[in-house]
Amino acid sequence: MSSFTVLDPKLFDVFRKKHDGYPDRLAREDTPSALRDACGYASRDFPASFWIEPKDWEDYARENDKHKTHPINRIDRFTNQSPTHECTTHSLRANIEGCWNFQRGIIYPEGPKKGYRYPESEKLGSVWFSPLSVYAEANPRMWGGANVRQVLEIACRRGILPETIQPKNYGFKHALHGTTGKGGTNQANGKWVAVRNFPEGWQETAKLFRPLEVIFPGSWEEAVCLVLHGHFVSVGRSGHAIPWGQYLPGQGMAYPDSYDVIRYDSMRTVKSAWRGAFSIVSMTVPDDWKQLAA
Amino acid sequence: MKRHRLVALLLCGGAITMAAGRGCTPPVDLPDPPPVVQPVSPGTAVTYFYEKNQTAIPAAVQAGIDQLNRRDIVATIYENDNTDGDDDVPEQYRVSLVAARGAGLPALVVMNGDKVVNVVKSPVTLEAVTGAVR
Repeated sequence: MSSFTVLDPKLFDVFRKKHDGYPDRLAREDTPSALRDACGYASRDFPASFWIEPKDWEDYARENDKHKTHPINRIDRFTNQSPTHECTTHSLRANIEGCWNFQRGIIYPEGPKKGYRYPESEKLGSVWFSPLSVYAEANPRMWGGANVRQVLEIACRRGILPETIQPKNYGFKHALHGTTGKGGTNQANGKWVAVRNFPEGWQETAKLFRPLEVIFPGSWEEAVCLVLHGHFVSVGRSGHAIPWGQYLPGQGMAYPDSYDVIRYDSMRTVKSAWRGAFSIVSMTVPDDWKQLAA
Repeated sequence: MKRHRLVALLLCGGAITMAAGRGCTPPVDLPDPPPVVQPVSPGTAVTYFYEKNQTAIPAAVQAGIDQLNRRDIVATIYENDNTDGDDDVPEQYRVSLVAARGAGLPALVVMNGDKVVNVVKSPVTLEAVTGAVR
């Protein structure tokens, strides 16, 4: 979709009535210092090299339209968490998968499409990561959600497992279904699994997929700049966590919601929701792109 | 006079015919043609190396990388601080990373197997990326 398509205002700020994936009591813990502490060595301030003057934002959006280099063009699938409280980890998985494909150099010109599997996902080594593999540790009680601090700390410390459904049989020694929710064509679902019941030795595979540099924008403008440079920005607001994936000048942000659908946040929401935002701009890289399980 | 002009024309025509090489060697020695310079190098892998504290990657460069992948070249992007799961420089990047840092980041490095065949400093256009490798 063009960044300049004028959308019906009713499409913006559509928030689910009931959603406890990111409750207020957990959101309050996501202070800037807490998030940076959670990431440890991976924590990064917004680099000056990434700054774009607001007067140039439209030009960057046009370039991204031309070259299909929005963050949303870096992922090849939706996930579906319904009716669970896993949203912060589904937002995390979009951020990580976007980073993985960014580093692998793959663009999906039409972004994620419900129920569709891109042939190039198999050919070009797209990997699908399991939100449940992080959520199970963030909240062992299953219901009640998790905050950004929790899921980032887990991912940065020990990584994330690949899902049992992949575009190709990579031969991963350990994998976990993605959700206890609905899932879909490109996401495996299954029963709740406590961390103690993860496949034996799972840490050896999870460490292969770990964030290395996580940028915390210091303003909503810096969050926009990150998106314009092709990096997802995960945010939490109104009880739900999502990844901003395309800047729409004058209108807001488009994002792949973890319900098989693209939704939109208005600029008013962008200007208030950026606090607690993060963007994974680099992650671990395999020794051989053609042998990911090695 | 008219006859002389006719003979002259015939002689000129003959000379022209001969110069056209129809069964005759050219009257003038021409230098050997210069060797054809291959403008791009063959490659099996291409990597754009950058340091995010210095550079954000132009959208056109990102698109060029994607286009190379669709030509069955393993084209990737590597941030200067990237490591593998064991916190080491990944094996596939050990040679090319040295070449990139030697040239100064950002740099596009073309590999053929384990040999560096081309290094392009600070590419900013799609053509600079796709044109760096045959």
